[in-house]
Amino acid sequence: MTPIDSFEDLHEFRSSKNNIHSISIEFQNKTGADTRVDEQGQIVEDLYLVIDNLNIDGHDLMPKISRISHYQTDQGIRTGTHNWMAFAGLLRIKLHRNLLYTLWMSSTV
Amino acid sequence: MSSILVIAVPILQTNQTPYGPAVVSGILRQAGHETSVWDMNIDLYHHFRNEWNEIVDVFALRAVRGQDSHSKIMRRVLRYMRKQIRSRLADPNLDAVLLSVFSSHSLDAMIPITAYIREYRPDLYVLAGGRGLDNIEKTTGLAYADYYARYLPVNCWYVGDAENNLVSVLTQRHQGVFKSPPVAGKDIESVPPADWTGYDFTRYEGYATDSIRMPITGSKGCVRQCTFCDVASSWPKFVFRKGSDIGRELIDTYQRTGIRKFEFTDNLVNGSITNFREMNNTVVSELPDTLDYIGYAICRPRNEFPKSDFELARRAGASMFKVGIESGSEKVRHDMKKKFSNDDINWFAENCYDQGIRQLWLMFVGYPSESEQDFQDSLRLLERHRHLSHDGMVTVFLSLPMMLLTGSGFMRRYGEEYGLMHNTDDPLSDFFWTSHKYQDNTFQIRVDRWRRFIDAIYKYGFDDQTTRQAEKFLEIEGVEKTYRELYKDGKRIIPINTLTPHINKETHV
Repeated sequence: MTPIDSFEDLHEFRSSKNNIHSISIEFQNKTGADTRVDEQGQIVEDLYLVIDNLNIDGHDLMPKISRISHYQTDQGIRTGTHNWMAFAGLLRIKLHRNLLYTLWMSSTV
Repeated sequence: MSSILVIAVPILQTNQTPYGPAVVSGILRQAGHETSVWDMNIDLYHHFRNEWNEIVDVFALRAVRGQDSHSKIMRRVLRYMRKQIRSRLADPNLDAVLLSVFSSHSLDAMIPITAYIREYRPDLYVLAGGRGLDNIEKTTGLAYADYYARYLPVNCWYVGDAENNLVSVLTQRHQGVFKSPPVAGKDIESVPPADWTGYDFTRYEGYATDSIRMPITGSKGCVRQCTFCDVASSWPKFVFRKGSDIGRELIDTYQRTGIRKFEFTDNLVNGSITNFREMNNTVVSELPDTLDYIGYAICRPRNEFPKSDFELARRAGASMFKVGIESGSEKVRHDMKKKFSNDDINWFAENCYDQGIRQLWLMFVGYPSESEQDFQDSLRLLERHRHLSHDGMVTVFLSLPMMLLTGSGFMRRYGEEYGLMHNTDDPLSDFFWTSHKYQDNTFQIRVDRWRRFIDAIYKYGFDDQTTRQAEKFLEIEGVEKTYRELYKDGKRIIPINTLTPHINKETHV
């Protein structure tokens, strides 16, 4: 499948007194018409968002994304997080202000 | 004056009282600060005794992370650590925390510990120090002190000996990495005894069975600068405390704690013979035939170290000397700059034996200039002393075939003399080094000698029953496998280049 569009942006985050920072990605306005299925009910074309890269200070966070994020659909269902968003909803990536702590925790507990 | 909490960071041995915090506490108290020591490791151990092996796996060995069973344990462990830290930091008068990072096994625990400290007390001055921070972080090639300084919320990373600069660094609230030069004679002379206030010795394994040993330091550095060794890179000169002060500390510690067994952290207990004699005399004059100590020693000639010295040492408590014999060949030991003869070995070995002082000989094979003839001399050394091997009176520990250690004399100044080829970017070439001057000394030859020597150790009854030696069998198999897969027959995935120094010149000579 070919992505219908791609989007790239650079964000700067400032540290605050709060230990936890979050990056939220909201996937909006996806409707049933954006997903096409064949006669067997298999999805043949879909609209989804791929997170291609999540890197902070040279540390690749992609392998840890399932452990440092929550993904909740608009229907209120919590679903597993991978590197794509196929349901309309909100993905929230949580990062401790101490990056090494985030990395360590995500591979330990 | 500051109120300082010194924390022993997990993971540590549970049968050893952490020495670093006691040393630091002694130094700081002498300078007028108030200190308290918290062995977080022994607390964790007692709280999670049944899960201790898993905790060690995760924290120290970085294994089995992410498995569900371990995740559950670790969640409980981290909750407990957080709660304990909160409680320990509750004292509003506390204004500094020192974290003692003893070895690489304590590095990972630093990550949550520093995060929790900052959660509860962002105002505290936090300093971390200890030899663990000298380890190299693999992805960056940086020492952990420098690597962690980028990420962890610690004010000061103190690298090197505490004796000379810790007080001033703490007083001035130094920020960033501080690299302390090696301790000098005048620094160690005036160092106070370790302060064991606040330790509950009954909590350590071995206390009830009288097998616990208190660490003690009498000296730093070595009187030799052997080519293969890295001690001189940390302490270029042999420096020592007064023998009478060391003797006094042994006596006082025994009288205060009831623990009579000691282990010297020194590279050599008899680096200065007169000082060693003075220490033993101090002990024997007050507590003859009471204490028990072990430590590293060097073989001394009969005219310098007469029979009376062996008897005196035994009466003061000497129960075992670990001796770096290294090779049975006088020629090889001469090349190493080891400087003792076969007669010195005989003298030392026989007299220790006569006094009932056990010996652990440390040996290795494959020194660059070692020929087959030299290796045969090593085998003959064992054969000649086989009568001393019964009942573990003399055991032999065989290290892996010669490795090029970072900071060793080879790396610092003898590489060219020996024609050594080594890739400083490839840690494996520490094992697989070659020499264009001694081309017969290949990795395969070295391993072959290793196997023949270990056979001789068993044949003559010198076998060391510790798991440490057993681990070497596994390690050598692993290294051999790597060699076969990656290096044999020119299959060097990374070329081995001419040796170049790659040590941190700011902290090493």
